Amino acid sequence: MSDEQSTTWTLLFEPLGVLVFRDDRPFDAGRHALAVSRFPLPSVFRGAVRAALFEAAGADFRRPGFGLGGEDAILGNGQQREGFTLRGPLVVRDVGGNPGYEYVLPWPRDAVVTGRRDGENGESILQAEIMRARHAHDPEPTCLRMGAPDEAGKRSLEPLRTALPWTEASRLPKPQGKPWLTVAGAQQYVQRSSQPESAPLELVEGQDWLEQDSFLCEEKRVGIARATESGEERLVAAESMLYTLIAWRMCPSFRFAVEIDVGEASGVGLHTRLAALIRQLDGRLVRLGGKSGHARVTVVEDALAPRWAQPLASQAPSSSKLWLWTPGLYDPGTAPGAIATMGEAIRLGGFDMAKHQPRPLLGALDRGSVLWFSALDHEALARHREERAKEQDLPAASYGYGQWIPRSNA
Amino acid sequence: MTTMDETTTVPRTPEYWKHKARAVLLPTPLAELDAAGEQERQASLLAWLDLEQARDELHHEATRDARGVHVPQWVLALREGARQAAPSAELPLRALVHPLSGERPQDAVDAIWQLDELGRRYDAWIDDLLSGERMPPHDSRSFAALWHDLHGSASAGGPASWIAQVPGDPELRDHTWLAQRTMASALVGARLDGDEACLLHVHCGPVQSFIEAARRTSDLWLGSYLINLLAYQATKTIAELCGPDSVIYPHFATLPLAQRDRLGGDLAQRSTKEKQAWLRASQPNRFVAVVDGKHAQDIATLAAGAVLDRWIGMGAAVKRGLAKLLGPERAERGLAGFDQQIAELLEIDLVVQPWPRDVTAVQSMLATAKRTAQHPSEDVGTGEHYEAVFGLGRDTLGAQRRVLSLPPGHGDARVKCTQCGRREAMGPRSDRPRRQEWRAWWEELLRRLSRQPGASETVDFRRGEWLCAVCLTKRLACRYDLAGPGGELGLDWDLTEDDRPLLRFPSVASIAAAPLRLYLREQAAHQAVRRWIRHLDRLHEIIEFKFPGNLLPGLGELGRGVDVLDCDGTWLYARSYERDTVLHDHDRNGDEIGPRLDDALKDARDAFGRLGKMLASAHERPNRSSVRATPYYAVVVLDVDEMGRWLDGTHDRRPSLEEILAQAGVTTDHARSGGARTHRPVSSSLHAEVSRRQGELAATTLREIVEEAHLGRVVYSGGDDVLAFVPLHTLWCCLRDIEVAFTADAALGSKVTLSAGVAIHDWRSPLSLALRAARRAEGKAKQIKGCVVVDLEIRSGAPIELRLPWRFEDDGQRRDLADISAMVEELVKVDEPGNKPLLLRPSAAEVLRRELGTLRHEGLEAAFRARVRKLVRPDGRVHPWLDHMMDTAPEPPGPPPPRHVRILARKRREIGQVVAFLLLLRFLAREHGGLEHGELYEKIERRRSQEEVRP
Repeated sequence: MSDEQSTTWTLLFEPLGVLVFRDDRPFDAGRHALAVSRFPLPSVFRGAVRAALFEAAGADFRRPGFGLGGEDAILGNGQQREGFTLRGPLVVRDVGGNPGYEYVLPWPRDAVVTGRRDGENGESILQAEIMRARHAHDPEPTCLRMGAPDEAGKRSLEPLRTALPWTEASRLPKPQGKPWLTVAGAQQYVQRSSQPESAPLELVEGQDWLEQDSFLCEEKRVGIARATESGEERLVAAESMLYTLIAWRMCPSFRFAVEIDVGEASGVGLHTRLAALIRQLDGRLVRLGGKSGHARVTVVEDALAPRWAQPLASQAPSSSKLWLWTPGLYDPGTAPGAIATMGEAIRLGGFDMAKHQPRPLLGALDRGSVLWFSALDHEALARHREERAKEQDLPAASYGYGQWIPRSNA
Repeated sequence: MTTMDETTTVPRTPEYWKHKARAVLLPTPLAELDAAGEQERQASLLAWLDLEQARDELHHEATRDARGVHVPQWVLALREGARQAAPSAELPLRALVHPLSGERPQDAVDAIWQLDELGRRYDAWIDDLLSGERMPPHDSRSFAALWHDLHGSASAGGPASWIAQVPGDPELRDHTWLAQRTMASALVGARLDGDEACLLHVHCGPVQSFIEAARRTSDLWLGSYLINLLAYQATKTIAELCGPDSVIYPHFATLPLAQRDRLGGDLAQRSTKEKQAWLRASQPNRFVAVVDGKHAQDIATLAAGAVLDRWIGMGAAVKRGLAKLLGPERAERGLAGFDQQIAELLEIDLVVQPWPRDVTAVQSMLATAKRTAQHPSEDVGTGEHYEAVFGLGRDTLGAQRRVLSLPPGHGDARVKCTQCGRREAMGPRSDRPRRQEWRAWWEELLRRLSRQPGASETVDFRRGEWLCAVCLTKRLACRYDLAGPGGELGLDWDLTEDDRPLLRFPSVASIAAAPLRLYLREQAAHQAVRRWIRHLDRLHEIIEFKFPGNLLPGLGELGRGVDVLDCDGTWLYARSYERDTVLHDHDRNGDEIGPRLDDALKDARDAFGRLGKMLASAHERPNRSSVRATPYYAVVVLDVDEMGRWLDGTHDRRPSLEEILAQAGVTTDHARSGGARTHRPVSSSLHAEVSRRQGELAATTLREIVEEAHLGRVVYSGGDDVLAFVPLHTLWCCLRDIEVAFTADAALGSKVTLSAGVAIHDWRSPLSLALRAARRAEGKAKQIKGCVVVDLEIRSGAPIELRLPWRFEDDGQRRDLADISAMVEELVKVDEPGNKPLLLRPSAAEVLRRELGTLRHEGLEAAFRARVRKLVRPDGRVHPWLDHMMDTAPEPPGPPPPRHVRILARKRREIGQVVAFLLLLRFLAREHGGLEHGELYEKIERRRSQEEVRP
């Protein structure tokens, strides 16, 4: 695809040191002893990319409107959202060749590890089963769950209204470690998900899956707070003034990645200008992951998603599942057509710079979550996502990026 | 705030309770032993019960299904033969075999019981049980009293402990008569009206996120205790509606809160020991009961409602307390959204799993779920299918737990909670929030709390702590609910000398320094100790703080009384005598107390220095170092491997029917020809028996081991899980004792394995890091199973992680973790100036580490071993542990992997274990602190044998 025709770019971020993506807990050094990082949210990269694009466009942040004219349609302003869609962050690894990088994807939460064994060469092989919706039993067990409070604050026990994810394996072991799938592993998962009857997945370490610790590990840093109890603002290396910061360190052959997309309806002018700005980022350092954190950007003129990937909901059949690669804003209880969701809930918060106040916390689905749909209504689902995004003024398109997979329930 | 539908009821007639009582008492424990006398005993009890209908068939079926295994006719014939061969006045009674291992306990003795004697014992027991003209049970309360009395009398040390030796089945001697009657009674209750029994599986949460949102140990303990308290509400409700016998897991009689509920009168007058017991968290958050299908949903509704009501009541009590403290207007402004946050917290999931009485129906149900019935045998009832039905219900609950619901979104623009980060912190809420206004609200709360009686006892909040409603409730639950007005534990928060210490948890520094504090306790009269205490007293006056009192049961009675135990463990570390540290740790302002503090601190520091000199000079230590406190402590997280598989009958090591029958005198050939090679199905009685053992272990044995024998403190011990803090000095012996306790014949037997994660951290490290490390280590141990993974976070050095076996055999001699303590002692003993053991020299481990890359290749193993030996013990005597750690890491239970896999595994990582092990030994020797293990354990024993008299 030529430069002029490209509507999708992938920005790769090579961290130059440890990165800090703090959770929502306020942290004042000296008052609090521990600051913990979590996997970065889309908003972190949106901020970093926009700031870098502003700088590339020659913005002067001290001047009103940043001294830019006519870039609002591309970069956005206080009233208008930017003219591109950002999807990510994802993780990529250097595999050599061209394009040289491929995704490493969060473990799909409807696949459960049922065993682990050593292969002939001593490699670790994960055995996993993909859960299916359980068929009726006779007599059927009654599944009850405490519902959310109603307006009067009353909660009641309600029958579970979702499908029940089920495997035929007897008792499942507790999850161990944090495996991620390579493209080869992901392909196996996608293929098996669509097959009515399938044998368990056999995933080989290094080839089909990677342990998170092998490419992104936590690192403890100790800092010294200022002593304010004494009325002084001096640094005191007393024990009580030490605090610990948990930061991330990424393995050298891995990168964070975001895909930037400009809609075809955006017009040639916008597209050309954005392409020029993005191209300027290639090789630049951008601020990322804490006050002194930086990453070097590499621009790839295409999406890195594998060929078999179907990220578009409109192409998904009505009985599908969505495997989230980035956090999603869907509410499992009200998302149209969703019959069950497996995964973890996270809370999106952060600080609203425009209003200069903390954002209200908003529940979301973590990466790796899987939503099962029956009678999927794409438009209704898009509306649902937009409505939830509005609650926190988030760009809906940046959330819920993932893989749509035809769902077999046999 | 209303919670649940208040119209739900579960009606029970007096006949219901009478039939349950009949099932509990009949057949009597002598039924199989003395069949001839049974008719008379039965008639007497039936007359007492005065039932409208006997319902013999129902009772017979319930007994059969509780027993849950079909004993072939030929085995029964064998028994009859044996019985006839014995003299009529004697009963040969073989010892019980273990319910999980199927093994005969090592100290088991087969007894010959004299029929006459047994009859007398029975008469005495039944007279005692029905004494005081006891009426037949007619309601929940009277039935529960009978059931508890029965269990009490049959418990170890009870007046009829012989009953605990009576097997539920003469052939399958792996569960007691008591366990079988308990389950038969539960089944009779569930099926009384022609109904079907169901298994009600319950999960109360959130657990991990709720507990681990903790800045300090007391938050952690209280979080764990509150979840235990809430889950208990559901268990208690089920026990009230269906009887305590219906709760299969946990064993209701062993729950400390259940024991409290049995007591009448004023709980405040009860002894400290009793109150201490009620504050032990041992109720699991996931449990199972047998209920009647017709009322199952109503029972579920009431149980869930009880949990919710208790939590909302707790939140309301805290809110009321804060409103009283702050005044209505300030409270209303700052506590906006409080009720909502409280109401949204709990996650309760329940599954009602049918357990039909018809065999075909059960088999069809299991087939639909693609579960194999392990024992598709002849029509002998559905007791044999209990394990599969239990497994299906449990897995259904597990599947349900995988279905995600999002927390309702009612967030606002306030700062988030500094403790959990999951909700907005309390404080004024407005469209344009101003941080100053919001900070002032919290400062005012702090100021008012500091004026409360006993404020100098506790730092409720520190400046900079802003909590959500949930974390606020956790923090203040003791003050306003548990020990508030009308609290359910008979405790009063304002009784700062008696009750408040029971509601507190020792700091990690106090745990780390526990061995030294025990040592100092015996030196309390020494001038240096008295002087140090005097200056600490003065210092505390200035910072307006009181000694917290002793919070470690292993050191003595909880509370104040012995000065050296009363002060917090932090004062045994020189680094605590820094001005800024004192101000920061006690949340005090230096401007207000500056000059006075400086003088007092200087004196206290000086006194601490003299104390150190006294410790160095007064007692000749093995390595001539003074006795001192190590700053390191251990967090221990452990549980039994694959407990679920043991209970659903899919564990590889489960005993076969043949093994069990062998205990009844059936020969192997005979058993095999009779088709007894299949595994022994896990019946509900067997499950109840295992639950009882787990309950006793959790409520009593493990506490004694950790707290009394090893100076630690248990946060949670329930089911097969333990979370505890242990001093570094006693860690290895404590782990050894815990493993021995779990695998003892009286507990879970020799076939179960444990996995443990141990995090050794400095007490100044954030608590949550130590907890995370311990959980992570436990996860790694679980990957192998049956081992201990140690995560050692050295304050100034690279972390060490290694995997240790619980024990191994060396030339027929058992080696266990306690050997590590002995090895450290040995190292310390020979550590003389000029003659430092090679291992303690700075170079040894580093040399090994560097050379490892060269020597780890296949073919160079001998060279590697020689190098280790030379560096560690030039005289050639190498401890078996070192040899063991040089070999492959402990293999998982089951068949060993092929040789080439072992070699590859060793090449990849296992051989490195010996280096890590040496580094661990070196660290332990450095942190030994000069207090010999023998001496320390002598002191512990001495303390335990002394009668504690509270001043």
